[in-house]
Amino acid sequence: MNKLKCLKINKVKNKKAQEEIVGFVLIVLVVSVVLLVFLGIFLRKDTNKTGDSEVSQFLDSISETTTECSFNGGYSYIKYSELIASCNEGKICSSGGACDILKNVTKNLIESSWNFSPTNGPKTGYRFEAFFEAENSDVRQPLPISDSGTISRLSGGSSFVGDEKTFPVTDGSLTIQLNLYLD
Amino acid sequence: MATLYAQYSKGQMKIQQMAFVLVALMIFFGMVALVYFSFSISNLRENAQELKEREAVEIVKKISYSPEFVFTGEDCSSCVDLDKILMLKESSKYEKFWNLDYLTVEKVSNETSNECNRFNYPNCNVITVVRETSNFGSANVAFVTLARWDSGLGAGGGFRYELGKIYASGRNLTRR
Repeated sequence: MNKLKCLKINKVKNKKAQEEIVGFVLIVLVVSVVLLVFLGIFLRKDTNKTGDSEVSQFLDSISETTTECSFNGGYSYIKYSELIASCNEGKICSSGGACDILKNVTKNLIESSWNFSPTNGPKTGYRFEAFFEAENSDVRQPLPISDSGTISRLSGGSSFVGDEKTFPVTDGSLTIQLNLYLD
Repeated sequence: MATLYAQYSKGQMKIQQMAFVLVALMIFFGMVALVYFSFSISNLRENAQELKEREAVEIVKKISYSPEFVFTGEDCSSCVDLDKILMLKESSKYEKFWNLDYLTVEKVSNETSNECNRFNYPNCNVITVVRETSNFGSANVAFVTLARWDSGLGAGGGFRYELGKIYASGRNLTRR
């Protein structure tokens, strides 16, 4: 009789303990879900920004500048935007290959415009790319301005600001893109 | 009687337990909400600061489109006339014209800063149009294309376009 009573008491105790555990697990689950949602929101936040006004102004301004490339022995010199098209066509200027001049001019202009410092500056590095996109095609072909198709000075920087500018040409479009890496 | 007292006490304990859990949950959600709002407010502040900076840069850019600066020699939308600006620098009438403390046009180059005048132009890189005070704070900057007549460019001379920056600072402008 006593054994039966003991068994009944144990059964009731076990059921109560199970209920407590279920409650506890539910609370832990709710808290975990809330934490996961917040973590997701904060981690998804993109720190990179395209369409930066400073870079946009820079790209607009350099496209009008006079370069040292001439196709008529120094009678006239072409603009930066024309130099990109000449590089795409593989032309040779009086003073060298259009792509080599494009690389040197771009590097000089970018590095004279901002101070890049891997430790002290707000800007740590940059990456410049130029592409050709044929009409009715989504494939971007990098211009041969270097072996990697880019001009860059990268030294860390977790986020970047940047912009791109497109120039229409007869059989498609040319795009230049500049990203500045921030400390 | 003793049994009844024990049962009543257990119920109370359960209610107390539940109350504690509810309070703990409320505190937890409150803290989460606090963290969320502090992040949102800091984002709002960042956005406001960014908008102010953009507005200041646009004001500087607007100065470059004014008739006193704009280049009309050839078709160039973002060009300013460097020859005109050199003349502006020499005219005292323009010192108060823009209501600015500082207005400078600089040619982007690796060379050391060299103020322009009639004698060294164009072998110089800075034209200070307005400098009301030396304590003008941090100036706002906008990139422009500088256009000037270069008699040595090509055959018979031509317009040379170079990359430049306009720096402006004043009470009317939002400082960075």
